[in-house]
Amino acid sequence: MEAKVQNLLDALADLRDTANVDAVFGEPTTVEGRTVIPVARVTYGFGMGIGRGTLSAEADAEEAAQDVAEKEGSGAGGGVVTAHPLAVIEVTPEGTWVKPVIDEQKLALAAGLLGAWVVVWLARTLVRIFGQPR
Amino acid sequence: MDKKEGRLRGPMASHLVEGQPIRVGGRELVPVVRVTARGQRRAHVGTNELTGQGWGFVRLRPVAILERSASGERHIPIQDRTVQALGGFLLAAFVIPLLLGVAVRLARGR
Repeated sequence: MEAKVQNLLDALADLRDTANVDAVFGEPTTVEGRTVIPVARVTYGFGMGIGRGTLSAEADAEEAAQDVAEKEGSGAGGGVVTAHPLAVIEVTPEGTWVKPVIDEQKLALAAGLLGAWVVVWLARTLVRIFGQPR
Repeated sequence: MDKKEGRLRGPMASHLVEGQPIRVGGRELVPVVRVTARGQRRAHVGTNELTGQGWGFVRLRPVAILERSASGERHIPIQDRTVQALGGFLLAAFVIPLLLGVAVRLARGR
């Protein structure tokens, strides 16, 4: 069991070295002499926990003396992978270009928040310049 | 009671890695990716218990592509325009109140 825990933890540590760098570039697609390669930003996240042994501190001495192999244990783990499109590489006989992909939804939300922030500050400024409202 | 406890926290590591070349129309495109990783693992071994936990993340961000052809090698940067624009918005959110504060001082000083 100890060796299994050690193997799991070692695998976890090695994962950052084995993450596939080529995952950020998609499959090239050629249409009418133009080849397009999608590019994305990829993030992997992972976590795990495992435990084995007596359930309480008051475990009896006889139980404590039992072989470790007879005890019960459990574990859980999980991971998440996210990919956000970043750009498209276009290859033509004339040359190679990188065309950025802009997340318009995210920018629209940020612009809305910025607009509200500016309106609040502008109103506050006008009140401070032209006098307090009664 | 025999007890052993181990903890290993890796520092935030970031380095540039070249991926597998992609061959397109007589050209070789080599992706350059910044790999940022962080991880931590912890184990506790006692007479009656054995526990282990670990977590980590790896972020792969493409930064450029190297175009190798008969005419030579060209470095083409890949920029995240969305993040740049959001950075601009954040900067504006700090600068606009400062400018308005200056405007108030100037108006009151008249």
